[in-house]
Amino acid sequence: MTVYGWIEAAQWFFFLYFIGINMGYVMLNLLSLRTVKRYVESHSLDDMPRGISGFEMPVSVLMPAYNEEATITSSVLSMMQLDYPEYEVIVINDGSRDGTMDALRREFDLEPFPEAYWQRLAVMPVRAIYRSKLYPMLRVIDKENGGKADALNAGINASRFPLFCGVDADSILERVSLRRVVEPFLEDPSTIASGGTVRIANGCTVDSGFLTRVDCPVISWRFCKSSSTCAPSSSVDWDGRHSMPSLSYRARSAFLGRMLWCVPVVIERIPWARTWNLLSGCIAYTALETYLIGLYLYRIRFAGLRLLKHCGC
Amino acid sequence: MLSLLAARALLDIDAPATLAWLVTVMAARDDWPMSRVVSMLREVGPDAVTLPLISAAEAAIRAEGGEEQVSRLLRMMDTAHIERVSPVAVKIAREIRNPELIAASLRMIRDPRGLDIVRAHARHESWFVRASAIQVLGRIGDSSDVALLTKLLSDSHWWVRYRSARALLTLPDTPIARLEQIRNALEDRFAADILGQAIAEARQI
Repeated sequence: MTVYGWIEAAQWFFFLYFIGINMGYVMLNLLSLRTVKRYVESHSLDDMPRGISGFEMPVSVLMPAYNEEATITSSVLSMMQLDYPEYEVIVINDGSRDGTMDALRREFDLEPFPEAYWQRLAVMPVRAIYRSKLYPMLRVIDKENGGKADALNAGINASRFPLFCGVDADSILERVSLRRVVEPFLEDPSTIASGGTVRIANGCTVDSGFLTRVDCPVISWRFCKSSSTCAPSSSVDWDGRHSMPSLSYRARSAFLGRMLWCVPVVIERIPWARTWNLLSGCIAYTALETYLIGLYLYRIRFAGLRLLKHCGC
Repeated sequence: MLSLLAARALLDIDAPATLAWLVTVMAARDDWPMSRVVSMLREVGPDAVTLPLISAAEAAIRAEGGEEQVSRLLRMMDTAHIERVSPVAVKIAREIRNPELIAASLRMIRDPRGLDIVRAHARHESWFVRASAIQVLGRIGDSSDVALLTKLLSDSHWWVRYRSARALLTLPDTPIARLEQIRNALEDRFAADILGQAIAEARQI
């Protein structure tokens, strides 16, 4: 084949790839129309008493941290100020080489805690578990480096509550975030996970974990580059088909999932698991569960969680 | 959605007259989000909802295949006077075989007259029933439960061990010094560790 022939073949390949991927997106959007309709209809209930009524399930907020010395304090402080009836925060220091652990010790007055650590999932060795004297709901796991999935697993091992929320350690949650992200679980018990939107914190003023001023970030080429991955996004759910979770790629930095029996299997089998993998795995295993014991289909919902993320630029 | 709004309107118009009927509808309509239902009942208040909920629960226990309704009613009972629905919860714990319903009903028990069934369920084959029963023992149990709870510190399930340790802390006549003695006497390392954790938590609070 001549060079011209190769170029023409490559052109056709990219053209067909473009057509295929966009046809896929169009199909997904068409399939989600039914759910969008139901979501819009549900707004008619907005003048009713809120679904948030002291009926919320307790949540374990898991924050894996690796070399997050610069942002860990404000991120954890923001978690301490969430408006939610019952939750705990577990920071997992994943073998950081900077001063992350020192910053946590200094700011939150940590003391070693004699916890009977339940190793449900195999993880890298845990050096120590600390508890804050200032915030009883805050615990810190200091462990050897094993990656984000390993850190999340260590957090799951130590979590006490039926729902867990994975949040990056360079992120700040709005105060009402947990209430909003739990809402799908209250509306529909078959929900297994929900996620939120990431917004950029660069340029904003954060004081003691509170977002006090919203402003535009200084534009630079690095910002332009990172904004392509952190830009606000929206997503709709596509329930009952188990093929594609509704949590968008950009929503993966914070998500809330139900503690399922399948989770240990999923995480063990996908050691590099990030949120996306975890969710896909959950869906696969819940689909299996559905098939085996005839349970109803589980749903993954996108909730109104807003998350502010430092983009590193 | 329309039916839910209509139910809300009925409660606004004349709650006492419609609640007896509406509660049975709420128990039957599994498409109504439970959080909304509970919020509506909270608005009406415990004085009004307690009796209709008790009547509906007793009818559902007697009914063939009423377990689904019992399950929803148990969640609605959070809005009622807990001491008054406690005897119904004891009845559900005695008569229903579904472990999830047993665990949910145990949560509502405040009445020491239900202690026998609670102690029996502390040995149930499902771990979450055991854990629920142990929590109730911590609330309404007495010093005679120390031996049972100490034994359950060696349970195969972490949550059962943890709940047992927490329950020991809340029993009458079990000061921390006595729990330390119990801990030192334990041969099972897992049991000693979990009791140590519970004691540390109590000291921190």
